[in-house]
Amino acid sequence: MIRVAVLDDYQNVARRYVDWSSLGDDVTVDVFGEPLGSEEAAARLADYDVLCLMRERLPLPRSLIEKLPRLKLVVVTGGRVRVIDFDAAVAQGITVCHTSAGESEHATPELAWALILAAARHLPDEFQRMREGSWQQTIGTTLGGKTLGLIGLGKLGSRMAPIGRAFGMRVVAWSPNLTQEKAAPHGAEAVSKTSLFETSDAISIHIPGGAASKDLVGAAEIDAMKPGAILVNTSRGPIVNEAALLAALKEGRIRAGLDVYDIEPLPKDHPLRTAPNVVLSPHLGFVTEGAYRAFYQDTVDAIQAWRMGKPIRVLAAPGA
Amino acid sequence: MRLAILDDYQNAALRMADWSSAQQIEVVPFTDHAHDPRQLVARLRDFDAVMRIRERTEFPRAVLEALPRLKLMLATGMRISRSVDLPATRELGITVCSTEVHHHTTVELTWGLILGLMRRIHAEAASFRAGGWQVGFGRGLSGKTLGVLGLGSMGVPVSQIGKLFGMNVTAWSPNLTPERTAPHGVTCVSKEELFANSDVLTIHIPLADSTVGIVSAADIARMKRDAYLVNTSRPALVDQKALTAALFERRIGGAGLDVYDVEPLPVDHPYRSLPNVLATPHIGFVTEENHRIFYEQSLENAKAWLAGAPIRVVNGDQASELIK
Repeated sequence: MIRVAVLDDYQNVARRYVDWSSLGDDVTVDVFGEPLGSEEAAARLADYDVLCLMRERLPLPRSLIEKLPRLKLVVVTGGRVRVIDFDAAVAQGITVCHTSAGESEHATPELAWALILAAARHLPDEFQRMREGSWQQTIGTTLGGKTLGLIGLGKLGSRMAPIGRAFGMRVVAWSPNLTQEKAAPHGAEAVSKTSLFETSDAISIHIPGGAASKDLVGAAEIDAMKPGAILVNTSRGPIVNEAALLAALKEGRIRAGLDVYDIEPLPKDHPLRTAPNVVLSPHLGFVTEGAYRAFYQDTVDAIQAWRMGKPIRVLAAPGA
Repeated sequence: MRLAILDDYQNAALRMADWSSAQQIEVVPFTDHAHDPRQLVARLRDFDAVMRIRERTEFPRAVLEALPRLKLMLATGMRISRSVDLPATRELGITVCSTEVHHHTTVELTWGLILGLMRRIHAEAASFRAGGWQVGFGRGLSGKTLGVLGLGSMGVPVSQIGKLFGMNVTAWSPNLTPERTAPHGVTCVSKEELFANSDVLTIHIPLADSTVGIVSAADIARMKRDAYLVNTSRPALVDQKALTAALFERRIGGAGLDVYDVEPLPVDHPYRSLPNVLATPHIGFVTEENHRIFYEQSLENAKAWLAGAPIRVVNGDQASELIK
């Protein structure tokens, strides 16, 4: 009997979006809807052969992997993953596979634009006030003619640039290794980090998380922003220093649209939940029905292929 | 000169321009809307000039004739003349001036509504504020079909952004041809196809006698069960009864609406409470930048008129560039 655990199925759709029984009678599948802390994970996942992870919601450091003696296969949804200790996995004879990105690569830039537009026009507030019976309490900001600043002009950032231009915006970009030659084909102008923060009316972050980008946007960068400018983060929470951001929001110096947080799910009593001047979404970047259907189908396919001895989309494998 | 400023919902009129630079103008803003023409006449009887924001207050002949003291109307961002009887203003000796306006703010709001509907931002944001985390699923845009009703000055930029989001973009209007849609990379379809195949259908056609009710009950009935209808254009383009019924009966996915038959929208109107409606309070043109243009140019218009050399006149002998 092979035991499969599907983790972090917040919306309770894993069983609906794919037919797990296609894996055969000798496979049992358990679905976990609530996030597991690392200690709880060690206790509750010890008896599984296969773990199916939703993106980076559950990190697999060496300390946890070593507590999962039965584990043989990890399937993680999406492409790039930074929270799995691949060396530890391989040392313990575990294969790690991933799924295709599906529409999730489009979905994050879409969400970034949803947050920019919502912040610019106070949409959640005006919508809520319509529900409450009022009419036009705010005056929004025009994007056309303004400057969009992109931090990172890779796979996601480069999708943002032409849309900014179609909205009539000037597009500037910065990342540690960005050059004018790399920026120009995307219709963006490479600028210094300082200049990006000083001149942009809306800033959107599209660089990877990790140690190198932690606190990349701190108090100094936020202070340099124009009054009322918009900061949108759909990448990873720690890229923006939370305390500095919270202070700026409370003082009404800038506005923000946030989809990612230092701790996810964000604690119920976290001060960001009640902060002013910010549009908040619960890490929806890649969360679309189409992306999930593809994630779960690819997950089943990956388990199937691994059982046949021919694992697909392998990130790490013993003896590889 | 006594100047009334109507429909100053945000109480912004006095800070938006330096009225103190024109000492001879006494400015009186009204933050509530006069729905009834008699109420409007009573309100304006003792004013020489009135400033109105876009088309929030209509000025038919009967109202104008009841205001003998009125000599100057400061219109703003005036695009079509349906809401002011311009021939009547000429006969009555009322000068009507207008201002510029950035229309792309409506394109921006249209995409705010489309993305909000598709990704359920409003529901997720409300749940999040109340302590929740991921209550449902949005839909991706890429690969979906965007239907643009009217491929003109609004429809073209809306369509181009749809293409950049990876959508399959189609368009229809009564006189649209494949020759006119092709340069924009947009597929020209029949009205039936537009309604039957779109995942998101957005309306960008001018209101004219021929386009009143151009979105009929039969058109709405053709829409997919999960499709969204977005109207940031004019309420009269859509059979509102048919739309409300379709939303009540969940025959379409939902609607993103910014314009209403009666504005401000009555407090008990179903659009305020239907779960499948994302409603905004006619903010298509409402941005800081547009309001600056409205107020600063209106102040210039008032000063020029006081000096006997009116500018940006839209009801004079020469057709102004401001009004199309």
